[in-house]
Amino acid sequence: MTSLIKSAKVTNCWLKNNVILVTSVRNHWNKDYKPGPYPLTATERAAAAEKYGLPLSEYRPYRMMDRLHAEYDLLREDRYNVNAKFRKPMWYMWAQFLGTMFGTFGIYLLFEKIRMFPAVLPKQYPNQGKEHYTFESN
Amino acid sequence: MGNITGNMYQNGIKLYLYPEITPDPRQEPTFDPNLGFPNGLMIATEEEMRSAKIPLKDRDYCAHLLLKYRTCRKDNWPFAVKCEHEKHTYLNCQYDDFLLRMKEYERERRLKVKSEAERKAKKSSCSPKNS
Repeated sequence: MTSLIKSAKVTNCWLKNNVILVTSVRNHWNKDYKPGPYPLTATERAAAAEKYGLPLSEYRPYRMMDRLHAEYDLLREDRYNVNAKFRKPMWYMWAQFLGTMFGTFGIYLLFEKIRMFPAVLPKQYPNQGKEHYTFESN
Repeated sequence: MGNITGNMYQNGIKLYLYPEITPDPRQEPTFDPNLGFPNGLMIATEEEMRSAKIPLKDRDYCAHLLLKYRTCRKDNWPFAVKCEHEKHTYLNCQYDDFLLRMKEYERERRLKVKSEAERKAKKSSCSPKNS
């Protein structure tokens, strides 16, 4: 156990000096990965550009609206058919489902009573107070 | 193959439809076994089997052959293939044991059919029409 802890100490020392490794292995995320608030005024914009080390003319921030998915507009009202009909009516699908389930259960119940078996009697063990014999005439 | 594709289903159906003449495989034979047959012979003793740690399910009428087979394996290890003869003898004994159980079933079935026929004959002879 102590040797394990010692080796862990060595790797910890090594990881401490590699911050990128620590984030990628241990935490997977870092607060610096998230961009700052969207700069609204000219001074904020200049400050942000300076923060990222870019000339003001090249700095074009993304407008991140409340965590929307990149393809959030794939399926909206103009593409989604509210009045779509199922291929089969609902009662039909329920009948299919229940028929399958209860039909299977019915077959199971039926063959609980009619069970197949090889035509042999239970295995014979000696010294159980039962008389056993071979089928030889003598 | 014949068992799986036909006989085993038929056994189940027969047991369901005619339980009075079909033996149940889970129950011991109902007729007196001692109808002119010598008793089965057990060769291995309880002490032998216990000291060899033979599992309870293997302590049947073939246990003496199993003891021989295990001894041979122990003596010849790792050349266990030298014990093919002992293994073959043991498995043949198990086969015969299964055969005996099949015969036992058939005997039970025939006796049931016979006693059922006798019962019916007795019933019909007792009816007022015949007397």
